[in-house]
Amino acid sequence: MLNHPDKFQYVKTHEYVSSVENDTVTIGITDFAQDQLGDVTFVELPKIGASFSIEKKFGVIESVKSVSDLFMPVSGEIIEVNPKLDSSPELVNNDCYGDGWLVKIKLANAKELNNLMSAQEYAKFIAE
Amino acid sequence: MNTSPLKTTMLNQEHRNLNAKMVNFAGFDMPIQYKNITSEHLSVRENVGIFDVSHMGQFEVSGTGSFAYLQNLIPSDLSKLIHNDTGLYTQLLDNKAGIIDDLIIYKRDFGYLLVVNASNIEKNWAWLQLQLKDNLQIVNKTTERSLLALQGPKAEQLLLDLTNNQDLTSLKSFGIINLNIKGISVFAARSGYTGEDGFEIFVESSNVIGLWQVLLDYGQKYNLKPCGLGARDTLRIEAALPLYGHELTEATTPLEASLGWCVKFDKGNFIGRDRLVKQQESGLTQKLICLKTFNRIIPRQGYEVVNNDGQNVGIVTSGTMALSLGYPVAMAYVKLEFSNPDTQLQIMIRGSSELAQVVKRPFYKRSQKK
Repeated sequence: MLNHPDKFQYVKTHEYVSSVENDTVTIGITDFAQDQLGDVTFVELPKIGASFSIEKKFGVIESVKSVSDLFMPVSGEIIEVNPKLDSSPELVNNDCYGDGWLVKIKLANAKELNNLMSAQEYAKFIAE
Repeated sequence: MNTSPLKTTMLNQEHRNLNAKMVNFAGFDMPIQYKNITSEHLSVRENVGIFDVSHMGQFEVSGTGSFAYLQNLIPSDLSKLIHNDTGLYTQLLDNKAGIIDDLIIYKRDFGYLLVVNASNIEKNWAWLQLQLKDNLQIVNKTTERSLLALQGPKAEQLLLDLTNNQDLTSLKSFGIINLNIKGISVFAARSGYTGEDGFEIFVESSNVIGLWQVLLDYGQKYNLKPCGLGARDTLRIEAALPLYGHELTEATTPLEASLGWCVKFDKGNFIGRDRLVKQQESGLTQKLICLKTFNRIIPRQGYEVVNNDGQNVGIVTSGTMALSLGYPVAMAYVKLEFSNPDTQLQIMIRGSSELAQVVKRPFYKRSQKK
């Protein structure tokens, strides 16, 4: 069964946002997204210090089957990228909410969080 | 878009019971993967995997005119099939030597069995009817007979366990053997589309669910995995085996597709021969080659191939992460002068150029061959 934890928020482009700690959030792709992509082989992430507005493309995720763009669920500055994904991109499949996270960002506009989907809303969205 | 309802194989419910992810492939509702492509791919390389390929077309040609009829439709020499239950890989060519389909032809007691691509069943049928001659009969057996591919280094041992038929061990490539698998009559050919040893098992459709279950059951001993079309694609690309619609189309000839070994000019006339003779005399302008790249970015069908000056020299037809090798590989048509092994090229991927090197085919070769 696909898993979309209550403690995260979600967007229609299938990224999740963790709860806020010191103005920063962790971003990754949802269980639904990793399941749709299948075997992830490569994740292209931005450099630390780069800033992106909400809904802007910040990277690319590639699987055996297909390639997809990654979109910012909220605006912010990249303060960390997951260093393990270079050698172990399959972590996105195995543990998308844990070791398979993508980037950590410093929020530019915390108000944007108010417009994201809850786990329940996201589950309803993907069922449609 | 074709909106007609998807066709299914007899095993559709079996796939669903195994939680397969299903996709539309050539109008058939088929499993692309059961668990994940990587584990299915590796099961075939290391142990044994089983594929439902019942969507593939099966035609039977019989009658005294069969040999001359088929010999005219293919560039290969059908007279090489002297004995019953032998087979060969070849192509159906149009008048310009464009490839209508690639197929395997087996000689059997009744005549010839043709195994063709699912995507081309109707087109092939129309072509075979258009070329029809006297004293022959063609029957479409696709629905009434199913096909399973048992592939991998443990495939032979699994069939030996199930049949005790020692003749399996001496069965040659594209040879056919009749088997009784736990009460189910089948015939199996030593063939496949993965680069591994293996068998394609032909069975009456009414018996295929039973056969599938027996193979899954007895295969557990060898870690047999059901494998989907995703792994079938990654396996065939590693083995540099062409796929219709990618490497092979009506716009390409067998000579361009590196299938010159199938073309026997000395066998006499056949459809498309004139064009192939001309190509042979004037030289090819493009050729299918194998490329490897050096990062983890996958070159995919339709990506442009350029030389070091940035000029277009070709196009990618298939690409994947080579799951047994650990780097991306692709097949591409390039201008002849860029087709030699070790040539450095670039592939344009999402606006950036990615270094690629021409390598000898195939990418992956198994250590021992039957």
